[in-house]
Amino acid sequence: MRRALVILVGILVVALPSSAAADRTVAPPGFSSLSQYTEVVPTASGVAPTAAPTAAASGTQSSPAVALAKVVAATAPQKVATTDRTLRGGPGATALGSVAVGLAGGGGGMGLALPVILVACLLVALALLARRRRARS
Amino acid sequence: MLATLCLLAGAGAAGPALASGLPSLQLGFGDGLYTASDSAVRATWLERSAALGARVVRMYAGWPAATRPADPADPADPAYAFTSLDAAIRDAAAHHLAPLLVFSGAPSWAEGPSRPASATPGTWLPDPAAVGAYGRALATRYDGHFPDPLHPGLALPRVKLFQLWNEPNLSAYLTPQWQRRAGRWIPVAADQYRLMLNAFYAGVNATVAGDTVVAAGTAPYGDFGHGQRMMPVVFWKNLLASPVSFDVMAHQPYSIGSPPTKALDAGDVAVADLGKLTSVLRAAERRGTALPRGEHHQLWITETGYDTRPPNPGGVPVATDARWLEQSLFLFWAQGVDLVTWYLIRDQPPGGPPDSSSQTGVYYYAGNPKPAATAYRFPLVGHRVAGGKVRAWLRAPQAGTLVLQARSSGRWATVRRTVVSAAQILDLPVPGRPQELRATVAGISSLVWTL
Repeated sequence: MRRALVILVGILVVALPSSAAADRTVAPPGFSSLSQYTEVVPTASGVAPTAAPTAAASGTQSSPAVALAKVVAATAPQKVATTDRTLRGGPGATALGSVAVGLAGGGGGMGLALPVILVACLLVALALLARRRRARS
Repeated sequence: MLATLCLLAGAGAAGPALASGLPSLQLGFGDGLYTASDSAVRATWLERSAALGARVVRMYAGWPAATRPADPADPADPAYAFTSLDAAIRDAAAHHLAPLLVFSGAPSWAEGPSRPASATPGTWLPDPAAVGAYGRALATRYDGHFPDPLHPGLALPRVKLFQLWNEPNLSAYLTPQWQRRAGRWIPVAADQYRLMLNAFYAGVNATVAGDTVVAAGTAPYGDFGHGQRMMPVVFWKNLLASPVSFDVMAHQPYSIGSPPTKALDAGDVAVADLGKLTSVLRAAERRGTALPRGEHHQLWITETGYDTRPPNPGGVPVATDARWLEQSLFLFWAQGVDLVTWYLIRDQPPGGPPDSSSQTGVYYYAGNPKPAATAYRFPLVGHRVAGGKVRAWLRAPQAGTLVLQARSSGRWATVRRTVVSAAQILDLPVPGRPQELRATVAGISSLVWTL
């Protein structure tokens, strides 16, 4: 059990600094990162956007937004790779690219890798615990 | 609001577009040039604005009362210094442009007590009563009947559009944004702004009917928790949580990337995210907190733009800027926007510290046009719909016979010829699989749109 906990803590020590580091800031082209027109992006996926009590900004899309999504998809430039350049506002950035980058955790953190590692770590710890109990019995 | 539509229709824009069956899109610019002290500068840029198809000019009125007026609702009170604004409004009217007066920042006598050193002067708890009185003074001075001090026997021009504050979700303009109460950080800026807006609406409408009050002009991005900025969705939800009177919801999106690039945070609102705001607004209308009850509040974009390279090394190339301007206008229109006032007709002087100068104009600082000037005057966007079919969206710069051409396999061919009205919006099917589109009307050519 102790070994499993040591492994778990070790992985957390390695993983957390990259995901819990300061939020990343992206700026419109030509704007300084000091600008008031920058967007602060959480570096790990699934982070709640705000702590304000009335800030439960719904992630659901209204029907106008759904209609817009079709327009956006139709007008977005083609053949664009989802790169860091795209996120930073380079020519050819697309809504699809934004979504992909968002799902990947903004490109700067570990994104989906972090929960996968944590789940794997938990499973390993549980397996070790079960094995140890079986050995004792 | 009806007055607004009539005003713009009178300027020769709204009527024909509505007649086409598609919603209209009015255009304007926001720029400090319109209130420049040099009348020749004002005249030059008002003339160029009108020539590009603008019908509205967003002008920075300020709050020109260094000391508290004896009667702050009286525009003739000697504490007010309206001479410069009078001149700018006379010039705008002479160019048949509708001024949208905006002011942001309170004189010290109209701020709340005990402004902390961290708060920018003019931002701290502006007194709602003083805001309301100033709104009444502005609306009265420019009601079309107020005697012109410089021209006895004549009246100052009528102004119908008034915007309260700039980006009130930023501490750069309104403080505090958050306050700690009972161990929790509470968003308070929207509550303060609601008090100001209700007072301003009452003041503007106190003496003359038919004026339009524009709310906010929210900035696109906020901070998590209790930072210096409030996300616009958070701001609007808080603002509309209790009854508040206004005619127009205004927002000011600056995209991180190309126009279709959505904000990554749910509470932020870039060019392609306006549904986040309209859903909040329409819900408030149904709930009865967006007043006047029964009014369909319009959505305006009172600032947007892209810094260009040159002159900003970090900006987008000017050809890309032109394409993004067209795409922005199309996306705004598709999301139900009624008016866009582009931020800057001319670049500001380059140099200085970061962000002290904006290069979002459709003209360079030297006065020569960027490709964006053509894009603004005659926007044309090719877009794909279901089945991969192509449509051409455009806004006609003039009345005349529109000729739409498509290039396929290296050859240009006319695909549509139709009579249009000035400012008419069209969304036309394009046969085949074109690679490029272009259009002309009345001798004016659009840029080439590459699909």
